Amino acid sequence: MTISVRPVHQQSEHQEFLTILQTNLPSLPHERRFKWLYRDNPDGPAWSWFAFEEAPDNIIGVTSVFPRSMWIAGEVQLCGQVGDFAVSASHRSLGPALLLQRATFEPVNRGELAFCYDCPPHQAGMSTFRRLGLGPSCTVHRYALPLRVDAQFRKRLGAASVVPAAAGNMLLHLHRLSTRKRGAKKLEVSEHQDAFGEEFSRLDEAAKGANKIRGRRTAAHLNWRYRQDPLQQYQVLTARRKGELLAFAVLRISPEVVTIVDLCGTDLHEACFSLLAAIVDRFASSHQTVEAFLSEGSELLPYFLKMRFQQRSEAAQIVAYAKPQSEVSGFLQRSPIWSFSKAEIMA
Amino acid sequence: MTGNHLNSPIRKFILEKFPLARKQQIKDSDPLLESGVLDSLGVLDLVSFVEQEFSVHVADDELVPENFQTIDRIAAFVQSKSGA
Repeated sequence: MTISVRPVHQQSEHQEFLTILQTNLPSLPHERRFKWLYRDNPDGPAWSWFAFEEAPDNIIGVTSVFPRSMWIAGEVQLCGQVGDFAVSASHRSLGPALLLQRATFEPVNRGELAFCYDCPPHQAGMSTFRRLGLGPSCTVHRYALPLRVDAQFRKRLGAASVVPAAAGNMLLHLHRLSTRKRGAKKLEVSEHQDAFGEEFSRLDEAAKGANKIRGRRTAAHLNWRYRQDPLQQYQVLTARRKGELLAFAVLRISPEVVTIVDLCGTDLHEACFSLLAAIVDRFASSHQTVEAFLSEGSELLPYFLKMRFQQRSEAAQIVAYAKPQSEVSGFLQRSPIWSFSKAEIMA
Repeated sequence: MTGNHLNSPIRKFILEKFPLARKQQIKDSDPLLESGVLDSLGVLDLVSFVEQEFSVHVADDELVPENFQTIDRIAAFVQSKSGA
């Protein structure tokens, strides 16, 4: 049976598209997020491809590239993030995945994207890239700061956990106080509940950096990503000096864990410490852990480490594809700084 | 294809390399992909083994379920490639 790849015709094949996603990536409510993710992205609509067996037409895999405006060495370039990659269990023989992965290179080879990147969260996801001779450009790790130990102790000790958990919480509190002494002067940190305005776009440009790669954070992108997401709600904190926006953090809050999805700004020595201290203060009595996802080269990493976040696990490897011999390809080969966080790797 | 002399080294490799194969005590006709014994990384390892062990080259368009669905299929595929 011959297996091929073709672009998805979303108008006539929409149901087939949702069906194969829902069958193979069942943890996500694909129908609810489709319009937002595939159509309303301010950087443009997604490209999608089916892998299929010919005669009879049997769809056995799918993938998409989501346009993502990026800063590359201080210049704005349109790139793409590969996502919603799925192959049916009976066809995970690598060949169909290779065809789909190659399809994601097409917009790059046509010159519509500067590069595309994928973020496989596990080694199995690297198999197609290994076969294609592509290695990771950087690795994103999960960092965690424990706030409380109640849940952990309860799991291990049951009802007997109350006293040791209280002692553990006190120790963590004292540990944090010692960290706080090293922190910089506090800025004005407050919750931002409105839509993101143009001051965020200006901040993004001010923080672009000369030799780094990271996603743009324009007001349009931030509103789409964090205010219009049909599946998630986010809390936004800003750090300001005399009213001027210096940095912001975006948080996803679950019952036990606070995830710092995004943190961006200038004057990071002050702003990052102030935001992290504010996050700890807000959630120290109600949540077990604050976590963040940062690439090895992130300029944020030293501040997180000083706040005693600890590296826990590998979250994703970033594999980038640029058109061979292109200017961007040359830049990627010169080991630029990948300043990636959860914001760049989440679908 | 059961009884193919190529089955034995392929089976040995799969049993040694993939814990789920040992746990499920797979037979030569059992599905390897749908059962989760082999994922794409497993296929990659298997292809490396097949290429080294039997001195054949596996092209990308040969990485299809027909060739890797079962130990019998893998053995038949290698045999067709090597003319063994």
